Amino acid sequence: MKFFKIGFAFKLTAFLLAIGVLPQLIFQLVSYSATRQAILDDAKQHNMVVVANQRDYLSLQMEQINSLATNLASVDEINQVLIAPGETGQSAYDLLATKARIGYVLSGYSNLRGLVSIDLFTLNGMQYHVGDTLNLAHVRTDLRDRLMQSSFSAGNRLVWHGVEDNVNASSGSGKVVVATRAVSRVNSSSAALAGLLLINFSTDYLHRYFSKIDLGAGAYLMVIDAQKRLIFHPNKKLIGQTIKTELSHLLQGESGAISLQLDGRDVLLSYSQMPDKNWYVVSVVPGDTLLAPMNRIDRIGVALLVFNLLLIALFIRAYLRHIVWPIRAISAGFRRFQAHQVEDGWRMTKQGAVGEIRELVDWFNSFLESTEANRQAQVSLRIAATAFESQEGMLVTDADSVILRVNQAFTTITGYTAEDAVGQKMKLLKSGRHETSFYASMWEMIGRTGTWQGEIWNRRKNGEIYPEWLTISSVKGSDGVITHYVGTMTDITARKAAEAEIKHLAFYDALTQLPNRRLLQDRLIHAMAGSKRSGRYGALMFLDLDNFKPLNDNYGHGAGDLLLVEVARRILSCVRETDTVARFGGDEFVVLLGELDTEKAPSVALAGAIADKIRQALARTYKLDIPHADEVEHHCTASIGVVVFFDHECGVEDALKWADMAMYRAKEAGRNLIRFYE
Amino acid sequence: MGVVRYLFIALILLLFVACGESKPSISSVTQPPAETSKAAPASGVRVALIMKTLTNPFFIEMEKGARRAQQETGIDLKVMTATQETSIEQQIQLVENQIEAGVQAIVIAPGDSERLVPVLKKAQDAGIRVVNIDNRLDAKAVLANGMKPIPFISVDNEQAAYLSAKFAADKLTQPTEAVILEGIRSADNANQRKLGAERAFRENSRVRVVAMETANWKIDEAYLMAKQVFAAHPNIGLVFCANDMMAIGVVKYLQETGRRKVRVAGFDALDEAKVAVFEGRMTGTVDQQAAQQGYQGVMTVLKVLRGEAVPQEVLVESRLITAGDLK
Repeated sequence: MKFFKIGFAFKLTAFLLAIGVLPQLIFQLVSYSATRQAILDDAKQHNMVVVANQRDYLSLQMEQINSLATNLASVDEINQVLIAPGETGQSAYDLLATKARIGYVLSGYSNLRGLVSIDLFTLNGMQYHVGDTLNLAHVRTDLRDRLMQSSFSAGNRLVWHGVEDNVNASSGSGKVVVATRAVSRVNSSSAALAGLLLINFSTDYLHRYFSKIDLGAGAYLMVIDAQKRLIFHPNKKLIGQTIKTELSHLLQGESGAISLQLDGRDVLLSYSQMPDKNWYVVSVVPGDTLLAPMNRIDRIGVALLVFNLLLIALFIRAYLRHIVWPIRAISAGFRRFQAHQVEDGWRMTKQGAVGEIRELVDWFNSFLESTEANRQAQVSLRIAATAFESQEGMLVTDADSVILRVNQAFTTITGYTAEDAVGQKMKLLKSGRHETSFYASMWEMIGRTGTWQGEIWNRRKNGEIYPEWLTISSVKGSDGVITHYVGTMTDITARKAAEAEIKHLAFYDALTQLPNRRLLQDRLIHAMAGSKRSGRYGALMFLDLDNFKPLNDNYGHGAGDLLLVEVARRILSCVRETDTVARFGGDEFVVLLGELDTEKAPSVALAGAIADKIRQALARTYKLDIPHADEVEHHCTASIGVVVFFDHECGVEDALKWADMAMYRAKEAGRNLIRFYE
Repeated sequence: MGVVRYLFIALILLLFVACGESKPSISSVTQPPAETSKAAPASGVRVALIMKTLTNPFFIEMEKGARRAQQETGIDLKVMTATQETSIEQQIQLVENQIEAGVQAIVIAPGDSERLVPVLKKAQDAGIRVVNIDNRLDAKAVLANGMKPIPFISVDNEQAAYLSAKFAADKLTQPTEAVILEGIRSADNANQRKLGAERAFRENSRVRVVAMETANWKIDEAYLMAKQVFAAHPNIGLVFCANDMMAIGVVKYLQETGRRKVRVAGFDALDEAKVAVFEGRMTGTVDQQAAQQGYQGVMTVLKVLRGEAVPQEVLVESRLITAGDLK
């Protein structure tokens, strides 16, 4: 399971990443690094060109100043100023007029853009000035003297001092690029140096110019003089500051490009040296800016990667949903099945499943179905097995009536054990009481309707023949062909006996075992029918005991019953086997005589004779052995009425009524008599 | 599975490692600069002060005053002058340059009252505030060019010139020929000073003006003009110069020719002129507080920039300086 939960999806993801994303990553990486290198090389070259251009611009500016200084140095008025005597003794007019004159001269040269001021310092202490201030009261004399000294030692040529404070402290331009030139008297015998031409160039002007150069986001230029001071930096406050030695050490040779970390950023530093000066024009370009063109490539790459990952994620999702989860569900289904937690009728849904997985779900469900069916069949079998072992005898045979199985009740009924019966044919039980046709019709019915039931006589193992109620059903296979027969049998011996008993009770008197009134009437109908058939007379006698009631009253019904049984026995002994003696109720008896004679008179005589025989037999003393009492002697007679009948001259009721009437006449006549109905 | 995972992790690690390489690292270009400026914090406002000439010390004072205003307010102040008083075209060019440079305000001492008007109109149109000091722009020209009113700061030139001329004339005991040396004639202050001097000389019955010439405010032209005028009128005993530069030029001529009795009146109170007054070579000069004009000019234009109401005309007090004041 664990493999499924984590491993499978993970493995597939890893595989897809490996085949889908990995090659892309590698390709991107390779192309990225190649492009990056190309762009960096290009940027380096470009920056070198930019730096060289700015270096050339600066050189041009400096060249202009150089020629300006050269021209100025040769102007007559300036030479005159240098020759003129010192300040002392000069009139205000001379001073002012000279200043104005030189001012006009200097002013004529001051329209070079970016020029802050032109000053002429003479050795006799005069300063002639044109520039951004008129106030010459605040001159930085230390600086002036230093510049003068360094310029004088260089002779008649322009000296660039780099970025310095403005000699004129009143000027609005604090930091300026300073160039000086020593000037000497021309028309003098000694070409001694007599003055200093000082030209201040505006760092602000350079700042404005260089600031306009766009090197890209975050990139900037720097100009550094020989003393490693900043002539230009985008931050005006830094102008005139000395750069760090670590940085100045990097500036070696005419030009170069260095990658470094500056202000915590990766930058490309490109530099170019000014010809003949130890000045550098430097560009600083952040790596980000250099690689800005890479951003698009990066973005496309990342977008592709994201798209790819998204695709994989979607695929994995679909895969999980349509394959892994359904499989997991199936496996969970089996697990539940194994743990018997699957309710009957539950079926797995095919949600999400596709193709073969769908089939798998179908098969799983059909597996569940068949399993459920099996279980139900087993239950049915158990029920059947229980039912099989019932009170009824049962046997199962194959299609050829060979016994396959019997139950305990079968053994009880037939006496045959399962070992005896199995393998035998059903005719083992045959009693021989039935004709072959009986069996033929039985099997014919089973073949037609599938079942038969009825009473049949069979033979037990001990040879006893008994009746049973048998049901035989055929069992058909799904193809409709009979495969088995099932027989169910009930031993009805007892039932049969009970039926006979009931029948006896219905037609016989329980005490005397003589037919009762109902059977008598039936016999009488038969006798009348027989009379018609045979043409012979019949006779009906009605007897009533004359002294019966006192016995009952004196000795109880037991004594009465004993007497009645004795009376019945005596009457029977007087008649033929074919005649009927019936107890009619209480102490009344009826005797039916058939087949007397074809003529009436002999028939009457014969009937009279028999009646008299009965009268005499009944008149004998009775010795009654009453239980728990002494033997009782009883004397008892009977009054008998007789009617002779032929065919259907009269009805049954009529005959009985007439006999009864005759009996009453005998009673009236004094009892123990016989009277005929006339 | 394990193998796939380790491969994957290894590759990602490789991606990151491949990018790193060692480089020199520098925290900053310079040591952090020490803040030493004692001036008011920079306000970012750019103002140009445009003056007439670099040769007249008067404008040094004017610049000083403007610089004081700069110190107080922290503005970015550019000071520039034309080369000479007559370099009107140059001054026009200076205004043009400042329009181009995009300053917010211009304080101007115009060399000419009319010729500067069109370029200043252009400046106004560019949104630049303009304040006029020293020499008043011609009101008609301003109106004709459709300019908005321009605040003006100066002295009462006519009255100051009148006092200077009157003081020189008052001491006369006999009839005297006089000459008036004017400034640039198209400059209003030159005209005002001429009028002031004329008024003073008219009032004095002993004075007869024999010549009125211009030396264009310049020291050397005045020297030459003196030579010329004195050749024509050798008996001139009184000279009124519209500024001290011209007075010093005249004094130079008088010294060279030994004319010790000629009385010279000046204007501007230059240090050199005050020395001449002290030594008796000049009768007097007028201190018109150039520094105050420069200071007021800048402060006024800053008020205008802030949108505050300013008076259309501010007259700075002027003072006659005579030998008595210097002892």
